[in-house]
Amino acid sequence: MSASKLSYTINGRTIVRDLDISLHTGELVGLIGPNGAGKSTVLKLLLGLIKPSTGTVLYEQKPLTILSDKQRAQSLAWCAQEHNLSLTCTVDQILEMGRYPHLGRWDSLTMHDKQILRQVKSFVGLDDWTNADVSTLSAGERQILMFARALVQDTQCLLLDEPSSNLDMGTEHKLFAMITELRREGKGIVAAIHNLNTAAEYCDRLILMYQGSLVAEGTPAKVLSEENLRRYYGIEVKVQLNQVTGSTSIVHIPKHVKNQGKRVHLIGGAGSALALTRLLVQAGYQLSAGVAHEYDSDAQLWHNLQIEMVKVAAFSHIDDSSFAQAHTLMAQADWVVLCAFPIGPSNRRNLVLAAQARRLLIVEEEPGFERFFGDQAIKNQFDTLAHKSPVLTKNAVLAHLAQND
Amino acid sequence: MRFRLLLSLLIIILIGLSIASLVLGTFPLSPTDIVNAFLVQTGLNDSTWLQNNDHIKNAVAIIFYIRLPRLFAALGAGWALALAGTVMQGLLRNPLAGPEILGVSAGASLGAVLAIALGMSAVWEGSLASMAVIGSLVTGFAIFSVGAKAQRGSLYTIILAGMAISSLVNGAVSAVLLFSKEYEVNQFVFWTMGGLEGRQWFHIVWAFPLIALSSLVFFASAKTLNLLLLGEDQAHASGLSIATNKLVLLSTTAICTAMAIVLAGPIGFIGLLVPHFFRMIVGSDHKKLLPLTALGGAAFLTFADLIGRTLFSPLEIKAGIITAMIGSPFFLILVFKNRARSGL
Repeated sequence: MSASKLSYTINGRTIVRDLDISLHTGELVGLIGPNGAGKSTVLKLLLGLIKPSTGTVLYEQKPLTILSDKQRAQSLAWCAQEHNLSLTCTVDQILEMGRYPHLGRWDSLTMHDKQILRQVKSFVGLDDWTNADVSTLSAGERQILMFARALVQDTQCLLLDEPSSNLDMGTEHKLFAMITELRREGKGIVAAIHNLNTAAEYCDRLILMYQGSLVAEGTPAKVLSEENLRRYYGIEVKVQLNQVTGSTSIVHIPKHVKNQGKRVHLIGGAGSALALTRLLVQAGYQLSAGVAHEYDSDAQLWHNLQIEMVKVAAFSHIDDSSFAQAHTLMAQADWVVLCAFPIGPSNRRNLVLAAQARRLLIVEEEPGFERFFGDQAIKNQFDTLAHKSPVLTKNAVLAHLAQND
Repeated sequence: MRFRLLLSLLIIILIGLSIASLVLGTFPLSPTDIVNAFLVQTGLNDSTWLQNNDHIKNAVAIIFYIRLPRLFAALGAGWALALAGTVMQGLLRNPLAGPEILGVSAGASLGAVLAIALGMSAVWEGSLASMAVIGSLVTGFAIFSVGAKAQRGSLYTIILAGMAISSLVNGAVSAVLLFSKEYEVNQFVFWTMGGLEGRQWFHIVWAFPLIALSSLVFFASAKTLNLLLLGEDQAHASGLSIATNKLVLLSTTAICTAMAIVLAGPIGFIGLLVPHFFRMIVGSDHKKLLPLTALGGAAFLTFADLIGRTLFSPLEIKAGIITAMIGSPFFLILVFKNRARSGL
């Protein structure tokens, strides 16, 4: 299936502009782009639901327009983004409608049709829904049902308009696992997808649209660049490799409220500073951090948020130069916060660092948390600090900072 | 199975009502009289005693020239209006649609009234039916084009447009009747309220073949109407030729409505109420809905007419008044009790 120079203009507004698009068998193409980019319109053009102002859609090298409605529906199924199912009918009745293009006016379902219905139901997991009233289904369940209905049509191509917009995370991944399975069976699938991480994980190819035009096309890794997302979505993101799936993964970087409020230096580690970092960023504080260890979860967050910090290699002791750098950062801060992280031989110099702070706050440990590893000297050192500086909960730290501004 | 049960029940009710319609009335007849009258009329029994019996002679006249045409008119009009209502509601995916509300009935009335006022009906019997069809087609397509302009989603635009056109056309009907030379109060009442008195075989002969043909088109479109419930976009994606089907179905509902008007005048509430009632019981599947509403509509109008002419006999209350009096409170109860389920 392919389309060339596809444009669609309505009421003087161009929704789609000079779009070239192709779909091969056994391929899952993701259509992405910000709201109003024209994704749904492209799907409707490919379906022949609306007529393009210019350009043609070809299905198996033949123009789509020469096919009858039924012929087209035998090769091409579509699943809309929203479904109005305030009807009084059963799930089975809805699914049966998917067989419409294969049946004559007076025909009832044949054994073959019924078998397809059964197969789709067990594939999608609707076996128990047979007589359920569709008006009682949730939005997500309706979406699954309409996806199943499209499968009942038994077509070579599927056009899906945000098939997972109403689905929870688990169901979304189940749905895309099904779509991947269908792709493997040789179906060609185009899906408009909002969730970029999902698109990156499952699609063979992505098409990025912006204001009706195709602006990038290719593998997820190529299309989902930090540059593209900044330009077309207007967001700052961090593109990294998903450690579990090996696919491209996108993390949104919140906007800093720069040069406002006071500066806080965080001493943390082992995830102890994650929540507090988020709270402080939201409250508009400028942050610096260290000394941290590389690959530590706190250090990764600080890195992603582009917070100025000092770090040393994983599991290594804090060396003199890092210590000095951290000291300099700390000296520029109005407050220093010592988070509740486990203190052992490799990071004990952070206690020495904290002891030199002008104004220090210590985060109280959660019940059952073991702060100390190693010799008694570390505990003594900490106790001295705790004696001189306030020990507070995370929220109390925030309140304290606000009060003493 | 609920559907089969309902269908059989309706057929039994319909047979019962038909017999009652022939038996009951100002001139009481027994079932034996009816059988005898049929035997005499069809020539199956040529005994001279029967043929010369005055009572039987009267029975033959009453049954074949008054009650039977009237019964057929009630059955046909009820059947046609209920079917037209079901199809319009499905086609427009709007539970408020119906031939009465959208002005299609009024259009047919105007056509028929014009045929009478212009003297066409005196020249050719078929002109009444033809003009009614033209009237309903014109109003039907006028409303349809308004609805098409109003884009999808605006469910109420088409209803409001229909009501406006309906009032306009009803006004025109009154005006034509009042200014025509042959003005009669009786005629005026018939064409504004509907009724079944004085129905003759020529009404039936013109209407029944067209109602049968329309019904065939509707029953063949059950799957199409079901698919349209999912919305026009989804129906298109499922292989339905939207424009063709809409054109065929809309024209057929207009013709079917016109035939009901020829039979019984603009009787209200059947096209709106009957489909609603059955949709609440069997759901939105048109394969079940169409036969049930057809039979239900026929039964409802026959019942209304029977009540109207026997309750205060020899005084007659018009069937249209009875349908409105039973229909409106019943409709209100249904709407408030089943607001969620009454949706299409």
